[in-house]
Amino acid sequence: MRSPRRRRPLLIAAAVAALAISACSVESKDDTPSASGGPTAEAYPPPAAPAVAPGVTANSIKIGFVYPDLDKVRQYIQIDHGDYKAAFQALVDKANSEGGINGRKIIPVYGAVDVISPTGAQETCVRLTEDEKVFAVLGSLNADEALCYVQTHKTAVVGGDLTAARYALAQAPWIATLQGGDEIADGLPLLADRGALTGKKLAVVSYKDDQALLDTTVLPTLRGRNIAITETAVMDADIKDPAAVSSQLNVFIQKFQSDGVNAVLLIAGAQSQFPAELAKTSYRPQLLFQSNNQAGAFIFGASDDDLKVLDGALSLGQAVDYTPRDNPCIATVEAAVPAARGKIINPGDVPKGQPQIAISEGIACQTLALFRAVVQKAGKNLTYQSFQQAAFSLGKINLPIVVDDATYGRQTPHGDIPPRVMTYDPVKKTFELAAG
Amino acid sequence: MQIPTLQLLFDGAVSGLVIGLLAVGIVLVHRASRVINFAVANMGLVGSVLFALLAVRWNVPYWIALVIALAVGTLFGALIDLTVVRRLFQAPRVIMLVATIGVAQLALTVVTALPDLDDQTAESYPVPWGGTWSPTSDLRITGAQISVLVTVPLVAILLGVFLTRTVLGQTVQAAADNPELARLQGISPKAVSTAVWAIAGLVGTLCLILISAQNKSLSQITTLGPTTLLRALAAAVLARMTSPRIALLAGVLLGLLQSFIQFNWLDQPGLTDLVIFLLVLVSVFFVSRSRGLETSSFSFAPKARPVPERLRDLWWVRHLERAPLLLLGLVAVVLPLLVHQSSRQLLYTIILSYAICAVSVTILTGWAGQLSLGQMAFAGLGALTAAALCRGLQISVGSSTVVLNALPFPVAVALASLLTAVLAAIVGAGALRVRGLLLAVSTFAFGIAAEQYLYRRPVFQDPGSHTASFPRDTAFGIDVTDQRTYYYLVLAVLTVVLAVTARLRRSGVGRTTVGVRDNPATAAAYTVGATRVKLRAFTLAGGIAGLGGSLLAGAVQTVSYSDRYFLSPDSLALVSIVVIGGLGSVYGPVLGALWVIGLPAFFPGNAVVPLLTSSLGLLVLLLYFPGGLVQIGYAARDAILRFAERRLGPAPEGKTRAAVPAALTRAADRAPLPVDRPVLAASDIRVRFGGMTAVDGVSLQVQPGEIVGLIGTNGAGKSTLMNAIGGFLPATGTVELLGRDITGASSATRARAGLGRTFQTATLFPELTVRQTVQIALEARGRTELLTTALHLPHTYRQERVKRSDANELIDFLGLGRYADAFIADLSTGTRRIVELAGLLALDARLLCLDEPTAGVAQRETEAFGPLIREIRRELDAAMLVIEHDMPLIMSISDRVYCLETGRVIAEGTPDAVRNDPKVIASYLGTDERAITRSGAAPAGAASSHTPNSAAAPA
Repeated sequence: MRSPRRRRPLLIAAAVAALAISACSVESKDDTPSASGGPTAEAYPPPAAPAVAPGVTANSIKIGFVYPDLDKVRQYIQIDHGDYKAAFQALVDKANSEGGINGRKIIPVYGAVDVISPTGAQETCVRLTEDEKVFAVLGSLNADEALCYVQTHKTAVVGGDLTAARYALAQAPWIATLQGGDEIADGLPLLADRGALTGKKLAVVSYKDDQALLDTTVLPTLRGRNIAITETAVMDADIKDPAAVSSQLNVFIQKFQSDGVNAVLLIAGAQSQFPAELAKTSYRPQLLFQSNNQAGAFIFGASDDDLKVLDGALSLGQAVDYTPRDNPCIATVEAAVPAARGKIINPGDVPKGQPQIAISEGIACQTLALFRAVVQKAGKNLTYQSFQQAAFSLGKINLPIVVDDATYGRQTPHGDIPPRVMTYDPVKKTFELAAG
Repeated sequence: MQIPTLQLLFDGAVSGLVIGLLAVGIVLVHRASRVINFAVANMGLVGSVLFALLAVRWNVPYWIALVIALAVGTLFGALIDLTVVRRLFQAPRVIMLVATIGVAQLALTVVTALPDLDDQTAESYPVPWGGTWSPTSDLRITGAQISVLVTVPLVAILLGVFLTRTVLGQTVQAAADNPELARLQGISPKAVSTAVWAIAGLVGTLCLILISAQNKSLSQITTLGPTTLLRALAAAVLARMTSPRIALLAGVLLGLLQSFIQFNWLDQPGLTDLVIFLLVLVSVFFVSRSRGLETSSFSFAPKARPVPERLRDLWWVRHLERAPLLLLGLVAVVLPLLVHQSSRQLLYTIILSYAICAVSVTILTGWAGQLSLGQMAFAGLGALTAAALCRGLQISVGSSTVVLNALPFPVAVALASLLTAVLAAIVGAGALRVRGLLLAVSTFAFGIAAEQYLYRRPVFQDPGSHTASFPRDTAFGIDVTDQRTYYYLVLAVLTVVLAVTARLRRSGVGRTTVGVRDNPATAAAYTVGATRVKLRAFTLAGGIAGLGGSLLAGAVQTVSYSDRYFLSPDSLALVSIVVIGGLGSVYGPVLGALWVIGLPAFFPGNAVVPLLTSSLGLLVLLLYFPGGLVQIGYAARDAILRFAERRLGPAPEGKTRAAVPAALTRAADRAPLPVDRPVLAASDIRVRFGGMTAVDGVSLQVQPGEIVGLIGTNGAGKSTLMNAIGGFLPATGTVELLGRDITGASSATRARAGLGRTFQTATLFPELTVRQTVQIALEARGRTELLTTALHLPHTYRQERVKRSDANELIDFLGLGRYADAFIADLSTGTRRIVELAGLLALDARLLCLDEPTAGVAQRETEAFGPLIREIRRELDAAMLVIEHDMPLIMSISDRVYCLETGRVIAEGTPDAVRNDPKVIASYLGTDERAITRSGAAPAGAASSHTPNSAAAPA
């Protein structure tokens, strides 16, 4: 007879197995439901938008403004986006001086994210959503940070990188001006139309954290247009480890060179690293950037010699205009923040070593303008439900700084601002809107 | 698969050369001080940044700047030795390893204070020649690469010459192997250490200058990330931590391997790191087989002085230790009621979750001595598993899809912990042979492989995305979506984890784990097998890490696997938490988490706090408060106990008990000895160390009740033979104990079969008390069960009380009463030997193998041993095999004697016969008539004057 001691592990194993089996079922593949629990035809299924209005009173509306606290990293890296808080405050003051939105004054709550602390983003998110109970959060949100608001804490967001995958997880209204890379589905045909993709040996380079974009958008789009891909590479080296990055990208470059690749499409996180490594070699494929901002980040830190790798390069991005004359919003900020006067220019045109003030001003102007437009349209009865309905029916709107109109609708919560192709100008050392 | 291009092979080899040089630096430091230097690269950071500043900003000529930079790098290495290494010279190597992590942070802090070069956008990192050379059409060699090709082999050759042709170099290994002997030979181990660390600084500086030159960038001057550091560590491990030449070669091979993998599998992120992890595991396995690398215990672990027995009657003394905890617990309960902000409550929850994760390091590193630098990987895998189970899974199997329905939050967390425990057991089983610091390399590699490869498996991620959300809803019918409620849930779990851990530490589970850490051989001799204990520690630690990780992810309701909480730097931070709190202390994790995670949260704007809580703070703490924060609490408690003792007056004399203690009265009758069979029959025992035969076909027998002496010159093979009989060494031949063939059995199994063993050094368990040591031996009579003890079942308390009572009786029987609560490390050799004998009594062994029981004991005390040994034989009804150099003693107590010479038996028989054997006289006793005569009898009166409870006189 087995001793009780010997039987005990068996009993535990049996209990675990029973639990696992009770939770399991086997289905044929045809019966498998979709990820979200049921088949859906919508690329952007609308999130829940109950008729609730946290932070809203008869005469006020509490809004969270979130931005990175770059002071924390200034001792390590040179990065300066300008004064986010001052820009938001200037615009809030202006809106309130005009009577607020639909008669409600904006009560700003600022959430500077400690970018060094591992808990920084989460703490800010919980502070704004649970401590302050804001109606919506506006501002600069990195990658998945928006999910803390719209998914976990069911709080509306205006801003961030709104991808289809993230939007599918949202539990509160979310509108934005950026598509987090998804816009490449519209951008790739533009590059193809310019002959940048067809008839070439094309390689695609992505970063490990952006593999979803590569797998779900880039590769299907290219295949959908019968564009042959010679190589697909995913960088896994830690961006903070230059030796590892250099070593891996060198392998990519050698492989591309040996395969005769003559055009390289750079996706997301790999965009500023790859050209820097390429500059160390004599190999010069045409570079195609998914994001003009990322291409600009490379230009910002590169030497004149290194910039030669950009000859013939194309990038995708929104057409922008920072001229105060065309942007009353910029003028408002300049009026309120004297230190910013005359310095709010295209970040790509900022001399090396100088602060890129336009980044903070641009985010403040765009998100607040969009928010005001939607809330005004929602009317006096402001709830998440009315907010979302207003956003879906907003239609075309011209937002500050962006040249092209944004179009908001049920399937375009990201504004669907059309990407434009830009070409590298070796004289100006910037990407300029391509003709046509 | 394709062979990479010539250019790529060349580039891979060049990168590998630098990695190899870093590995040489690791090997060099390891050879000199048995430390794995995690600061190998960062030590060069100061010099390499200064070089760029000199050459670019201050326009110092290249070669002058280079000389200055190398000199500064060398000086930095020497300073590290003088300020850190010397202070920790006698510390366990694992503490030194942790200190090197702090040194790496120190270098970063120094560099941050230097002016930056961001404004020098037109410049690149200085190189002696900025051109390129193309010897063939498909090969382009840059000036930076030529620097590597010239410098690395040259430095390697110079280091080789240094190590083999210079006196200082030749003393490097000797000083590390045996500092005391080296000192006697006129070698200063500290001077050697300074020289080696200075060279390590020079090598590190050179490496970073070479790497930075290849990268060119001035805006991001090279700091090596964990993946590059791992490659250097892997190369050093492949070189068995001994050969600089092999380390260099391994570096090159790793560079080529990386090129090959990445060239062929461009779209498989993390594959290289997975392969390197497996490579490290395999190489570490073989290195561990060949040699022991770390045997010292954690003497820096804070010692909690046991409460003296007579003070236990005072109620307030009994609860003294609990008082601060209760206060802390009260604060923890009340705080969220006073602080209403959910964001603060989230921070408190994160602190608690970290504390749970840190408990796993306490068990694995603090108790079991297995340093894990990848513990947050288990936490991450636990979190991802819990999130996946909570979400529900769909796994394609052939034409079907297995759907695992979404499980409730607590069930998902519990199952994830269980699965993580199983995973940890698997990883632990793979690393069972990995000793000491090499496990740190293996777990570091595991951590990297997890974050680069395992975390990113689709099964862990939300369908259609690369996130892993982990929303929480209810637990045990309570809504835990609210931050405060969830905080209380995590607090409750932490309380349970601490209660379980504290209970385990006080029980046989904790004692045996610490025992195996301190002295696996003695633990095995006390029937406690190292394999089982280590595996138990791995499993327990893995499960707790998985639990903590799941709860941490539950707090933020997502698993941020790519950017925070579960990455390799977080694993290092977890070690910091435990060391800062107090390594091995049950409550250290809480204090450490409060310090490292809590302080920055409580004082967000303070500039000093991040330094205090970083690895730099850890370094300062190691140097000045090696026992961590909990040590301060122990000091206060000890002062109060001393006060209480003073008030009670002088302690009464230790109990003496003439009667045989009840602990020696067997509860169950022993199996009768096999008729006409010896207790021990060893046949044709042969032990080889490489080409040398230490024991050459020895056969011996010990009959029931017999005392058999084993004599011979030093190096004759006596202890080796005893080790072979005890299963502590691989040997050929057969060993039968009580008629049962135990040839293939482990040492612990042999002990369970009735084979008791003492050791020449009588090291025992330095960090345990006399009572705890005897209690470990009492495990032979009834094993402490993990699960029932953890569950605080009533019968486990009874069993524990019985063990304590038995231990007290045995201790009193041997007159050790006043040493019962003394740490073994504080005892004299003679007292330790008596404790060993107490252990044998507890074992109730049928055959006792005593290895020089009087070695290191004063002559007067030696004389007391003969009667004591006879007494023990009588009480245990045991046979004995005794190695002894004291001829009067061994000849007086032995019934028969074997004499060994060069691994063979040269004589056997009664003491008289052996003493008069010409071969024994020639080989061992010598021809001095007085020596032969003196070997014949014990001093008069020794046999009659002894009583067992007076044996502990030596102190």
